[in-house]
Formats: sequence, C-alpha cells, structure tokens
Amino acid sequence: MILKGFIRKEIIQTLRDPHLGMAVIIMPVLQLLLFGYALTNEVKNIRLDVYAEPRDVLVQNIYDHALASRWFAPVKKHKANPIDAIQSGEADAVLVAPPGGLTRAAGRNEEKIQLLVNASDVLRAQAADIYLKSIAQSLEPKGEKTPHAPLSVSVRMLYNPSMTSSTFTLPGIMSMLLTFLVMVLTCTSIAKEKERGTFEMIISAPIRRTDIILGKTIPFALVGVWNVFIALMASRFFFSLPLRGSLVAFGFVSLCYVYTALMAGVLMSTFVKNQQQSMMCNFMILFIAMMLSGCFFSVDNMPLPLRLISYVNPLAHYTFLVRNILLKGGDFMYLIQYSSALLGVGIVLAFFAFRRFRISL
Amino acid sequence: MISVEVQHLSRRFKEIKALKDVSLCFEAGMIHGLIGPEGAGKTTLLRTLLGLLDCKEGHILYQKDDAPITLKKVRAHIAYMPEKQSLYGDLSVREHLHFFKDLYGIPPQEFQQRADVLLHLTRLEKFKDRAARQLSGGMYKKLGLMCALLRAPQMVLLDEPTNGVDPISRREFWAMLHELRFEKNITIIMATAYMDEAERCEKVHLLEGGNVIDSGVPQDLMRRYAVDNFDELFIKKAEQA
Repeated sequence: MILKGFIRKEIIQTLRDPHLGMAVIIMPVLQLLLFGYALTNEVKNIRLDVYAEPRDVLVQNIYDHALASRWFAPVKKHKANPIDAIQSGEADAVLVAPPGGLTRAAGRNEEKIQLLVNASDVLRAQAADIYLKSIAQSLEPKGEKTPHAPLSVSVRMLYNPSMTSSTFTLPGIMSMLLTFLVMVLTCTSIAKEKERGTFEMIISAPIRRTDIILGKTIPFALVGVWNVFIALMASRFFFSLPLRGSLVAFGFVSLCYVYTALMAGVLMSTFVKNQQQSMMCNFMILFIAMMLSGCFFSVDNMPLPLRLISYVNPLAHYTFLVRNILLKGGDFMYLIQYSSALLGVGIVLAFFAFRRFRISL
Repeated sequence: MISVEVQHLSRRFKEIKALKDVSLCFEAGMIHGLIGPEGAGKTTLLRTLLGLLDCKEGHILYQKDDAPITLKKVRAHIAYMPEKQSLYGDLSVREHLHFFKDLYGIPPQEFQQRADVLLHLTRLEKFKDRAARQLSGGMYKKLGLMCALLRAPQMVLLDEPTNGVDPISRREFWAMLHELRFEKNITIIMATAYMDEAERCEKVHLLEGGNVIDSGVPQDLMRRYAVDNFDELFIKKAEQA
C-alpha cells in the first residue's frame, strides 16, 4: 500500500512537471540520436589540396580516389603554395608531387609523393596519413610485388564489418543515459524531499526504512526499464544497431544494472542535503564512471590503477555486457561472469545504502 | 489517551546545546503550548518526542491509557506537522489525502469517512482539486493538519502551525484544535512563537535558550508574574536574567 502511494505520487509529479517529464520521456531519445550521430571516432571531411602538373595522371588519380572515399573534401580556395594552404587553415593535408611529376618519376622507379599534414590536430593528421597510404596502396598496379609489402594480409572485421563508429558508441551512450536517469533521478528525488521538508513529514509516519527506499526507487526503476526499451528501439530504428543476442539476456542484465544504479542513487542521497549538492555529487561520480567505463575510451589502454577502479565500476560491466549481447550475440560464460560482478557491486552498494539511510533527522 | 513525561533531557548539535536538562510533563487530553522565542528549543523538543532526533541524554516516558508504552509502539498514534512547508506543491488536496492514506495504510472505507470529516472540519471541501501551492497560507496549514490527522491519532505534535498565517485563519485553526481536543480527546502539543497563542492553551511550558523557565496554566502564570500577557512575562524574565 505504501509502495502504491509512492509510485502514484512520483508518477503524478513526474508527468506534471513539464521539465522532468521531458527529461524522462523525450530527452533520452533525443540525446541518443544526438550523441549517436555526434560522438564518432571516424575522421571525415579532411580538406585536401593537391600541387601537381595538370597532366600528372597518377597524382590526379590519387586525389580523385581520395575525394571519392568521402574521408576527404576539396579545399574551397587553392593557395599559391602548399605551406600557405596549411598555414591559412584552408587545407588539412596537401599532396605535393615531385618535380617533373609523379607519373614521370614512377617511370624511373622513384615514385615518391609528399604529403603535408597539419598535425596540430593529431587525430585528423593520423587519419589523413593512414587513409592516403591505403588509397595509394590500392592504386598500385595489381600483380606487381613491391618491396614494402611482401605479405598480403586479408583482413575480415567481425561484428562490425563496416567499422561503423555508432555501433561501438551506442551501447555506451545507452548505458550512460540509463545511469543518468536512474541514479541521478533517485538521488535528486530523495534530496528534494529533504530540502523541501516533506521527508520530515514522511518519516513522522510509522514506516520502515525499506518502505521509503523501495517507494523512492521503484518508480525510477520503471523509468529505467522504459528507457532501456526506448533506447534499444531508437538504436535499431535510426542506427540499425544489431541485436544478435537474446532479448531476455539483454533485459536481465539491464534489470541488474537498473538495480545497481538505483542503489548507487540511494547511497549517494545519504551524503547530500539538497538538490544542488545532489547534482554536483552525481556529476562528479558520473563523469568518473563514464571515463572509466569503456563507453568511449578503451579500458585496456588505461594504467593498472585505473583499470582496477573500472572493475568496481558498474557502468563498465554493463557497457561490456550490452556490447557483448548486442554485437557478439552474448557469450553465456561472459554473461554469467559480468552479471555476477554487476550484481555483486549492486549488493555492496545496497548494503551501505541501507546502513546509511536514516529515518531520523 | 497518551501522556508523555520528559526527564532531564539534553540535546546538543555540535557546539550548540539546544536543550538543557529539560523536565516536563504533558498530561493526556490537554492542549499544551511550548512557548518561546526563536531558538528556544521548541522544534528540537518536538522532534525528540517523536523520535526523529535520538534521545542521547535523559529519558522520555510514554503512557497510553495509563500504561507504559515504547516509542516504537506509540508512534503509530502520534501525528506530527513540521514547521517547514512539508507538502507537495504540485499535488492537489485530494492527491495529498490519497498519498498519506497509502503511507499510513488506512483501509479505503475508513479513509473515505475520515477524509469527509476532515474536509468538512477544515472547510477545504471546495478546494479538493486545487494544488497545494495554489492554496492560501491558512489553507496550506489546514491541509498539513488534515494529512497529520488522517490516521486518527491520539496525540498531535504541531510545530508553529500558525506561523505566517493571517489572524482570521489563525482563529479558525485554533477553533479546529479546540474541537479536536474536546470532541476526540486528543492530546495536542503545539510549539509557537506567538505569545498571544499561549493564552489559548490549557497548559503552557515556557522555553528560552534550551531551558524550561516555567510551566503551568496560562492564567496562573500571568498572575504569578503579575503581567497581563506573555510578551510582558518574557520581557520581565529577560530583565531578571
């Protein structure tokens, strides 16, 4: 009966507050779309210019293929010399043919073309280097063995053959949004009750700590489950994100994560007295959790102490699980191992949350 | 009927001693007034009586129908109305009643009956669908009292319920309290900083700086201190101190 009262109250308040309602129902989808398109590791539209004789067919061919790849875009204004083009910001990379032209140099087996790259943006510079080398290699005449490539490696990309960036980032964005909604809303909702004095009225009733915790968490658990469903639908519809594993497994790990995030929210609420403190506290925790989760940066590249922290980061476990289920079909042992870790963290958080949550002032 | 006896109660918040060796008796079926200026320790005393603040020094003894009872058991019979705005501004009067019904676990038939009586008593029937934030100061306080009374308590603790309320609403509020006291025999303990309200109580306990400076029937106290009202009494006490 107590739970029914809390759930009804929270739903009424959420729906009645236009900002909160929007934050819960519409914003997750909008953010998913926004981040899904914006947060990408692919470097595109590298402005490329070329300095070569018009009759230099080989250079022209490389340039045309580069533009056709869509990784490169032509410059708007051709400058007098290559350095000026980079210096003025007109071009990110410039192809410079050898004196007399590349075609003629190739005839003498001296095919060397210079690529000037603006390395002030390291990521774009590295991408320009790799892309152009791969284009130039693909244009080498077939059947001829070059001294630089004695082995031919056939590469097959599994699970994300087109190397689409959103396929990698979307599970991370889904996890992040779920954390934000469940953990932050739970913590802020309890902090709001304390700040406005309604908590005093609630705890004056002869109710148990468990009743209040469940009453304050179940409504946000429902919000979390709703958003997992919406995020999955939106990811499939807008980004064609595959669901190769079982929907039941996905639902199970999502429930485990919602539970853990709720407990984190309750625990955090025991440290704060008002909404402002709640937002600050959540922002700091969420930011660290996100950075150490593998959502956007690989955890394996991090130093050992940070990797150790990521082992107790529920967001990291959930992100790994979501990627594994959605992209790789979900390995049973992997599922058991990471779900146990996720639930383990959840149980520890619940222990401290219940211990610290007081029904007194 | 519930009565409470406080024995040598002290309460400290870090460096500040909010209650200093307080000993008081709240007899059953009376309107008790905790009278004193801001910072006298009224809110701390009420919160400690209800167990919202733990009682580290001293004892609080509860009796129900002349038999000792523990705080855990007696809490089900005590209603509390905090000083702060303790209601949800975006919920209507009706939604508040339903929320507190669920919180207190009141069966539906009983709830309907009690809600009708309380709505009539507080004259909020016409405003059932109005959001709490749209109620006037007096109506807001009445809604707070109504939520507290919904579980048919035997003792009510009110923390400055008439604070910031206009004189007419205050008079109505007091009329309501007297009705509750005489019709339902409820013990009421009310903290207030309005000295004129002291005279409306059956027994007053004067607090200042965490100390109880006196207790008794209002008229007896005024006679004893040879004053016409409690404002004068506190001024006289301050001069003596």
